[in-house]
Amino acid sequence: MRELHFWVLPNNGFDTFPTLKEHLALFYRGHPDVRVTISVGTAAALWTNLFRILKDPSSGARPHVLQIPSHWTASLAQLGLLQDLRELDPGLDLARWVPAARDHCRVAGSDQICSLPWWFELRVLYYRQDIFRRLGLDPRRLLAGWEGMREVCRVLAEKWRGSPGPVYPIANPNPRRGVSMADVAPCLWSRGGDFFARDGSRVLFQRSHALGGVSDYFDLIASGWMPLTGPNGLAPRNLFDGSCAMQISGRLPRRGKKKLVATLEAVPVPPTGGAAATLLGMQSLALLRDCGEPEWAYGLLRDLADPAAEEAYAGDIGAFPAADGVAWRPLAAAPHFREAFERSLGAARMLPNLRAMGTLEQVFERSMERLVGDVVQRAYEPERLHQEIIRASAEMDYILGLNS
Amino acid sequence: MSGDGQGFLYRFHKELHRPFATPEELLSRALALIARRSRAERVSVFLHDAERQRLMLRYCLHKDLWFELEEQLKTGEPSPFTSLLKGEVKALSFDSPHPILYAPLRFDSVEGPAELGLLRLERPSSRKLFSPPDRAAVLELALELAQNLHQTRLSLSRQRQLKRLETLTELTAIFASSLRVESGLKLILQGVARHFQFDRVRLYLVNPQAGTLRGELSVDLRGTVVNLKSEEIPLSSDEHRFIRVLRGEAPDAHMRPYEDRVLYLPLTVQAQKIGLLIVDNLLSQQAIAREDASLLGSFAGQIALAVDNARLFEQVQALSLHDSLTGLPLRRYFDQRFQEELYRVERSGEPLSVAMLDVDYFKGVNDTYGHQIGDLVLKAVGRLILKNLRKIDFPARFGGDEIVLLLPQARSEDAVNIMSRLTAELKDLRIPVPFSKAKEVGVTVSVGVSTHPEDGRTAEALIQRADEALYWVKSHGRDGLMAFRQLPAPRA
Repeated sequence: MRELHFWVLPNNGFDTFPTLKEHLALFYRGHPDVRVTISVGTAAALWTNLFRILKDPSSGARPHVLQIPSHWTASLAQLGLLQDLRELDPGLDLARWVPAARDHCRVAGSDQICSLPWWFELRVLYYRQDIFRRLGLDPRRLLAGWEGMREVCRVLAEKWRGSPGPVYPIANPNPRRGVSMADVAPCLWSRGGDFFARDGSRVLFQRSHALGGVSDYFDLIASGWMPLTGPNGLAPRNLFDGSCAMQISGRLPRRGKKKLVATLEAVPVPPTGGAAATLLGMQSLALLRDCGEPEWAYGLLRDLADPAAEEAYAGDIGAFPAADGVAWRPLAAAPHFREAFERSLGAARMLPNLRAMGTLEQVFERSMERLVGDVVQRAYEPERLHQEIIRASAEMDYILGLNS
Repeated sequence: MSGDGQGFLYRFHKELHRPFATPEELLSRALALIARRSRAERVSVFLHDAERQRLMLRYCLHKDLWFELEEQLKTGEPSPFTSLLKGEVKALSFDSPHPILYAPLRFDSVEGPAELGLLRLERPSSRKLFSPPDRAAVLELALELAQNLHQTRLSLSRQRQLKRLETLTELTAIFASSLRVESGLKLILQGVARHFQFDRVRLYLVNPQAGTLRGELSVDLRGTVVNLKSEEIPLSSDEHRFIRVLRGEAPDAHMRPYEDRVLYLPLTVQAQKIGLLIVDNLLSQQAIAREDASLLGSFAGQIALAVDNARLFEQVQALSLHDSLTGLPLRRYFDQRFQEELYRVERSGEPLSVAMLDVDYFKGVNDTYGHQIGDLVLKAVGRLILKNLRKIDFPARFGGDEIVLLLPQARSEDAVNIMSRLTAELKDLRIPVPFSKAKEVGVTVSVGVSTHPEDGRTAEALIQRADEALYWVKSHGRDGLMAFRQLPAPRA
């Protein structure tokens, strides 16, 4: 029996294993003599493990197939970790996937294809209609802009102070008690700012527009409107466990929670500046270079990235398949969210697939972690955010310089 | 604890009381047993990061499936979790949003309390509360696990230290036995990067003559070597971080956030600062382990000594291999280099040319103006040659006023072009002769060129062919250039 190791991110929380196992049926039909071992770990665990492989190839487990955020493709390929899929399949054509995903499959300026798009999410703002109705808040008017959304947060926080039930106005989409580039991106882009220059040569997010965008987002945390901790040391609360009134999320609500889903409505992420903006986050599949069994591993990857398989899997985790032509089909089952997603699509952008993007994200998250620490210790000052961004920008500029 | 409970604890003890290759291996086995004994649907491990004052959730066993996750709890602030870790409370229980039990991974050792982390047990589906006997059993198992985890970590740490000490011995031997300073440095930097698993290692050396700290080499985790010689920092610079570190001053406040990912090691020999070794994990953003930092700190002394020895060796080599008048290498150095180049081109098939250069009427200059002016001419010619050749070219004083040049990667026509440019530069040369009527003397040269493999495959053959071409120029009016292959037939 041949064994393939597949490393995935927790796409469906603790149900990631069972969900994925169902979707391996297609592969097992064609390869009855292969067993796929699934390992689930967060992106940070994946990063650590990939560097372990890089620095000490003989140590510990190695995957054959791995899921990566698509914007890590260039970083990991640059480190020599990813297999060029064209070597295994010279006829591989990216036209099968949504156009936005194609540049994220390779390193800029190279013909190699180092990952294939799997599924994506598109961030919108969900809110509880019942709560808005009860408090006489007009969601369409208030959630048309960031200031309006802040006003909702202020009203809800005031109303719920010391009361049981849903206690936080808005949930942090980041389950790690942290803030990522993906979280702040819509705010930053909406103000006309950006993280990096288009050619990836320098950092731009210390500039006023970008800084303002980060500040807009962080203000939700600093004001105590967005929970950083969950109850009793568990993961932070969110809209979908009924603890908050609003949440920015890129997924469709799970099918199982019908009662809660019936109370939800969605709008595009409220713009912080003049332009609407949101994040399209793509997840991709790749093969580890020198993993052994590359043909078998590619067989698994190809089956998972088949349009029908992508549609089925994305549907089960509330995401959208990356295959062109079927990408929006999950909306057919959730027509009342269609308008929000369709309006958001025109304003959607992806994090850039730069050669050092994985490292740059780590630097950003570390800075945000320090600020979150300040908030927790009630020592946060807006000036600290400015200082942290300047410091992080300098470090990122240096790292970009190393990769130029 | 009941007899059954005691039996389970004994089996747990037996199961864990053996060597595990990694803490993960131990934890995966232990968590499965704890989940079974406590009937917890989910068991998570938080490991204590004392430096960052965090409890980091790293592993979780959910319905027999292993997850690598990320969550963190701060320990710097007063909280029930901090009290639990410190042993101020025995356990923590919650019944909302589902039954949760926290148990400390800690024990009191002879060195003091070992605070390793926390165990979290949950029953999200059954929602059955953890009973007092459940709680007592989990506390016993957590204590046993803490002791085994501590032992596994100690044993791993010892193995790592041993491996690194072996590495250091090996690297020192390589470094000490290396003849060429550059290749020795490259080997040792690659070794440090690979064995300590740093993202990058850089070396800067003090150049006392120039009053600078000059970059030497950088090696990254993939073994890529980058020459840093273009980086030169004045030792007088008060602003530059490297200089401040070299002086023994603390890095500036801006460096505090990087302290766990960048390490500066000044290299000192007999109280003299000779350089700076910088290692970093900026790409991976992983913290450098304290034990690695201190081990490398002790190794810095050995590197410093070896670098200093290699430098002295290089200076002695330079003195014995170079002509003191022209600054050009001597013939025996040239002969050695010629053999190396021939060996290389025989394998690579790349072209290689040789040029013989003779200063025209040099004897006349000596006879007319004296040897002092003759020496000035040779000195100026030598300096100009060193300045104008490509980096890969290798000139040498062949004897008297004859100079020979190795021109790697140059076909016959390339060599003619290179030498044409050089002879044009030499024509502009003016040597002042204050006591003469003309007040200065000009310089022209004659040059002959031969090329491997067309004109010969051995050093002797190539030099002879170049000399034949040179002779032809000299016999046809001097101040010219000829390639052997272009000599009018019959050639000899």
